[in-house]
Amino acid sequence: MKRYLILEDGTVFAGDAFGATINTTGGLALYTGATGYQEAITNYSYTGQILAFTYPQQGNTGINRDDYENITTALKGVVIGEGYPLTSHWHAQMTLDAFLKAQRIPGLMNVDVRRLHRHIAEHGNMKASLMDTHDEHAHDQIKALVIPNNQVSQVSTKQPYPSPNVGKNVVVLDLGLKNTVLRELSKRRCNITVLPFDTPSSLIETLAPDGVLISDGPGKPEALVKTIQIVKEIQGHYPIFAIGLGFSVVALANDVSVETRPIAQHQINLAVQEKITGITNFVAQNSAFSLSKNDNLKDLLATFVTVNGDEVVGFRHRYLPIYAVNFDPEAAAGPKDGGHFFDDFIELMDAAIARHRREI
Amino acid sequence: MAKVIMDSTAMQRALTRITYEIIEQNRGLENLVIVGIETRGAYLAQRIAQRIAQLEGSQLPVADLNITNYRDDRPNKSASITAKIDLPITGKNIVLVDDVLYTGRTIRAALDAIMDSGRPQKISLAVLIDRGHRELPIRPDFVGKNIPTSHEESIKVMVNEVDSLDQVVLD
Repeated sequence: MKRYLILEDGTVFAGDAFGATINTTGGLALYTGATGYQEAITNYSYTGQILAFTYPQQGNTGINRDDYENITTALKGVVIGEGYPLTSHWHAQMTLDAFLKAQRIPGLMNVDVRRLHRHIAEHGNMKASLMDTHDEHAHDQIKALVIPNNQVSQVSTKQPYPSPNVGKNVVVLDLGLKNTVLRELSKRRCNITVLPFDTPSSLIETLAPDGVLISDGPGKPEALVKTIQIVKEIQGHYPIFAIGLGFSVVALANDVSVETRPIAQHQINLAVQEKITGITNFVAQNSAFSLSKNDNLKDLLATFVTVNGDEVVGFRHRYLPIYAVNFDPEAAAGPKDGGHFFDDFIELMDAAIARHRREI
Repeated sequence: MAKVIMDSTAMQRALTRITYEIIEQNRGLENLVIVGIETRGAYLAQRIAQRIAQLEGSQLPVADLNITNYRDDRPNKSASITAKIDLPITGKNIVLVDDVLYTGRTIRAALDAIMDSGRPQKISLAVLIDRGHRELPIRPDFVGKNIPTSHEESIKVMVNEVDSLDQVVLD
């Protein structure tokens, strides 16, 4: 069956339907990694978006039980180049097509994804729809689409929940958490409590954690007024590690502004350099926002910059135990260079505990 | 049996973390002086100063300190005690850097040597390894790694500048 990807500027990409047979609308996101479609499709960073994979072939290894970043999906559609009707991998439980049908996510295949990428690179972020027809009505509909601002409240946990272990007490503020972040903390024996994004800071105080992690997630950081307020209230009291969307939230809480990228970055091969040592790491990134260029960093100290753009993608607070990165050190999918960022978080908590003991 | 307890990467990361903690604990760096205890502490002090320069773009004053004459296990020490710091340190915040903190006697000697050279506002202590067994009431402010040891064991910190490689060995 034919299906169409319609962009808000009127451009139409024709392809073949797979997955669920429904029409859908949303912001278009481009994922440039060659691998990792299962992690990306189950990543809440794409909430409300239609996700297009620019690597030309997807789905070969099916869907397996180990690579879910969430057990449900929050994206609106999937666009791929060449699809694969079967799966040929020992690890697979089902095909990508079967998974999308089960999750009620429409898919579009046999699209020239390279052309799509060039088009977006030239014209910037766009709204899009997946439709069975591309008549005038469909074009009007996509033009009129208003993208909501409440993506985080759609996917953040509604209730606090524990992920018990025997080590440090860590609170995770869930802005659209990936499972691998919890996995990395569990590996380091953290006793985790995951809290909704708008938890009052008094509850965090009651839990008296050794540290707070603020996760990555979808949508606009400016919309997270409550989370920004929480950061203002708790920073300095607990060591904080912030990832992705959390990075922008912590920047805003410290009066450093952020701006929308002309093209959102969803990649698994970003080269970032640690300023202090010159060491380069390759990391994954899902980021639609960057620190405003030419803006004064105030109390924040730039720690990591991108190798090919000199953009500040990591900072620490000059006086408080806070550090943040505008990429995904947990990978999933992506290279494993970033594991040490979680070790750094453990050490940040260790230092705070040691200081606290000395001061008693 | 010798066992490597920190490799080059772990040493780099520990020094990096100590650097961030020094910045965090000292509001404004203009009053800071880094003092390294010879031999290996002096190189670690240089590296911390280099790291701060990378982040802040400004080079802090660094001094090497030879505490030989201040040691409490040397005879006739009253004969020729000379302080070794060539920088004005009165009113400064000093970060004293050494490789291993053990009994605390080296640090006591360093404190005396510093005090004979001036009157700093504050002295804090950064060590790469704290192995315990203090014999004096001295504690570090910045620690790379705490390694519980017995008296029979020895800890050797190797630095590239002297030993041609970076590592810490427990023997």
